[in-house]
Amino acid sequence: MLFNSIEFLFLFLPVTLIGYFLLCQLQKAVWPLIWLLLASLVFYGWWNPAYVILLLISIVFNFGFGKLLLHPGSPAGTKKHLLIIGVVFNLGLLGYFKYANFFIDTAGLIAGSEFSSLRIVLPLAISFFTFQQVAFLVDAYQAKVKQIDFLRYCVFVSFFPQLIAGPIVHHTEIFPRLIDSARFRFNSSDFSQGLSQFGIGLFKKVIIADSLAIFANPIFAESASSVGFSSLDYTVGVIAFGLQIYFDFSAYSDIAIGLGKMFSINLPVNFESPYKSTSIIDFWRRWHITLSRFLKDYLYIPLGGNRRGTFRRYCNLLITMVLGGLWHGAHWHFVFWGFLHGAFLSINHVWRHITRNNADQTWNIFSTVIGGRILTLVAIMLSWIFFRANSTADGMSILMAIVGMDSLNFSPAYLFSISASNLPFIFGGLISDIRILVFIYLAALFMWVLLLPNCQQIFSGQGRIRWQPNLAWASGIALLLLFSVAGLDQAAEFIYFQF
Amino acid sequence: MKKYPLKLLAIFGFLITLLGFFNWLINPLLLFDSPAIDGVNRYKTQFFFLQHKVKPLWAQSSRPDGLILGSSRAGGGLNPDHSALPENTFNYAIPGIRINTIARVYSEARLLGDLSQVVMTLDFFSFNVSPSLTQVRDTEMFEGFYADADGDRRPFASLRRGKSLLQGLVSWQNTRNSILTMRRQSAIEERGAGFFEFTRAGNWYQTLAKGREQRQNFRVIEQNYLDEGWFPPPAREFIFANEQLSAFDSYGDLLALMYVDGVSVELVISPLHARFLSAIKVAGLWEEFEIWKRQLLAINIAMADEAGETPFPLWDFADYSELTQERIPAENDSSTRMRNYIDGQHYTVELGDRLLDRILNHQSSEHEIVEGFGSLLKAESIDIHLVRVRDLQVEYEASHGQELLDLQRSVEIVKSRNSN
Repeated sequence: MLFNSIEFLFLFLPVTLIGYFLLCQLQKAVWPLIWLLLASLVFYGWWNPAYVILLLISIVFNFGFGKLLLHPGSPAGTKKHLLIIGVVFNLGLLGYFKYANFFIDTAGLIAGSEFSSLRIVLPLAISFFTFQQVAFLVDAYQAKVKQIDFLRYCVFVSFFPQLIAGPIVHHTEIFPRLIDSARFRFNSSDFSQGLSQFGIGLFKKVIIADSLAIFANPIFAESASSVGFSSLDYTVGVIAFGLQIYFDFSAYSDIAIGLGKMFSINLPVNFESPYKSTSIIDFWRRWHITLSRFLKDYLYIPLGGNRRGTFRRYCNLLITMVLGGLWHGAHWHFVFWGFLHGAFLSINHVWRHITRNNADQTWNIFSTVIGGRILTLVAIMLSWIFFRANSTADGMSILMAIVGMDSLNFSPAYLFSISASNLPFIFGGLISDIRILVFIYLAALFMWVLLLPNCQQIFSGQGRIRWQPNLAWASGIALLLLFSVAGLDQAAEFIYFQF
Repeated sequence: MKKYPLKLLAIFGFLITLLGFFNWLINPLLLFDSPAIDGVNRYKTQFFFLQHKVKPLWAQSSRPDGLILGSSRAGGGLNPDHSALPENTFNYAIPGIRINTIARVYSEARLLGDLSQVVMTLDFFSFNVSPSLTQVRDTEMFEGFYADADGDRRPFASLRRGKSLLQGLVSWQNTRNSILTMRRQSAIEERGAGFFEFTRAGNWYQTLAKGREQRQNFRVIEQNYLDEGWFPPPAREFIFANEQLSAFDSYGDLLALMYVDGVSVELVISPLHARFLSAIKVAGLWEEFEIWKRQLLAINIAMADEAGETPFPLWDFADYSELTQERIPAENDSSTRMRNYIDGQHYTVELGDRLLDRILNHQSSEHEIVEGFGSLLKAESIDIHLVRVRDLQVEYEASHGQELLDLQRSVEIVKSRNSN
């Protein structure tokens, strides 16, 4: 089920919320927890009921292994073997469903022949619930898990706001809340904040992110090379995709956190104004924060991190980012995207090392503003080409077309695709020239991402704009909800749902 | 703090009700029973090309036992209330539809009730799978409530129907339709192709605008067809199959399903005006046109054999008769209206009634039988039939030299426009 669907907004969410708070009245945590679990399974099963069984198998298996790992009588050697089996099971499941055809195709490529692919449907959210549970097993092995019970474990893995596309929740972030029986009640403050953040997220997705797809999709379409798009089309398309994925993921994070908050469950921050980053290192502390945390804690550090010399450090960084790229999808263009970011991070670390003793104020400002913000943003935007393209070769063609700068005009085909959207209809009375409209729209959105505070700042009262539970905010959020609900007939699924 | 969520939801509820009321009142897609107000919403200007979205809702309410399938030719020409058709007949024709989408429409309709009679009109353009047909691509978004892409029954049909109606009330897309409907009321009787009055049985009546020359209407439609799908190759071309889709396979699969269903089916090649038949020839597509007719017949016979049934009757109305050669009003004549045609492809309900009389063997007191209007195609006589049509075409062109010159001009215009 999609968050941005009529059935979720008008059926699933109200029923789940009402049922949950009614069951909270019984003063026993077990009933609202069972309700949340059932609701989450319905939410997941809406896509394909058969895969609920796969999710449940994964949950039961990992819970069982977690219990064995936490058993005080188990010898250390046995625990290590149990952990290895547990991790292999999880990665095996992920490998089969997500990467089997990738490996078959790659083997065929190496062998110079074509092997037939398997007919496998990628189960929704498998990358997310696998990572979440691998982290749980490692923590159980390291005795960082205090206590678990089956029902709470099921809710921890399947809680619907974070099930499909994260955040990849650490057990310490959810378990204490699920154990605290005093918090199973309606909390007006949490609900108000949650509803407001949900409204902002929905608006970002339905109105902003999906409208940007109109500018981005034509140049990434399979038939794009035969259409004859200009350099300007490609440049605008790439920038639009950079903004689209920003608003799409930002929206998803706001919606997930907002929904969690309605149930008084605080999900971790996953997205914190990443385009305001002053470096690639900074970017990865702001973009998909919980994935970065997982990769750091459960891959980069076990590989040796920065403890085994400079060369190994950069190798570890590259391996981590390449695997991070592969996690996004079983295609070489994701691997290349990960490699690019690994290379960017390594260069960033080298640069920091070289300039660490430079005390020149002017140089520092120049380095932060020009070398930092602008260069980082350019690097991120260019890397998105390979993230979104259908193949690395397609990505290279788009990059070459941009660098070639053969034309500074929009092609008729590109203008035609934009004119078919609702934008000219909405703004046609104000701006008749569609080219100016495109520039103003993209520039306004850039101003938004670079200058406005993010939701964490707004709701924690730290930003210039501060949320308050008053009539003005209620009216504003109601208006955003209206815009979003009315745009649902054109809604597309979240980009991160495919991972 | 306690009242904040209530206030927020109350304001949201008020705003969305207001939006819903506006769209209910204007009712651009005829989803609701709101009043028709002159100058505000009488003419549903946005409806024509959105029928693929609305007709599943209407058909679901109608639960028909008779069905008309086809493109806009059938939509505007075949009256579902014709006395030879079952009492509850629904006209499920959709403008610009391709044969694979007709198959989807049938899959949906067969799950609604007990179909006893189907009239399926077949159009040459519906078998063109060239990706350049933008209008056709839109209708391929047809999605019913009951059948999935494979034709199997889907659960939760009522939920999807409710969702569609809700979106009809509160979507921006439909708000846009409402605004455009209001804006376009005033000029519609005066300009262009005029206005359409739609019925809930799925058909419509077209009235040409007051100042519109009917000859001009012929030209516009011819050029649209040349422009959209035919000219010049390879960007625009007429092809029966590509890597993704074979029109004849879709047609065969559809017939196979109809034979399994045991429903009575009449297959009808639409009655094109003689001038439009010449347009096909001038565009260099006459050979394909004949291949198409042969294939329609051959596949029908093959599918009947497979099912152990008698082949469905296949009627060819794209022929030469007194009716299909009706005189087109002269240049600058904007007052004379033809009895049988709106343009070279779209026929009037009067001609549609004659067609239904003919195929359903209905004796009408209003129309007498016209010789040459509709021939039953058979394997043993198709060669003679096609030769006869070709000969009649030569005769028509010999006696209508001006029409032919006019057509050639249209072809040149489109050719040069699309070559640049």
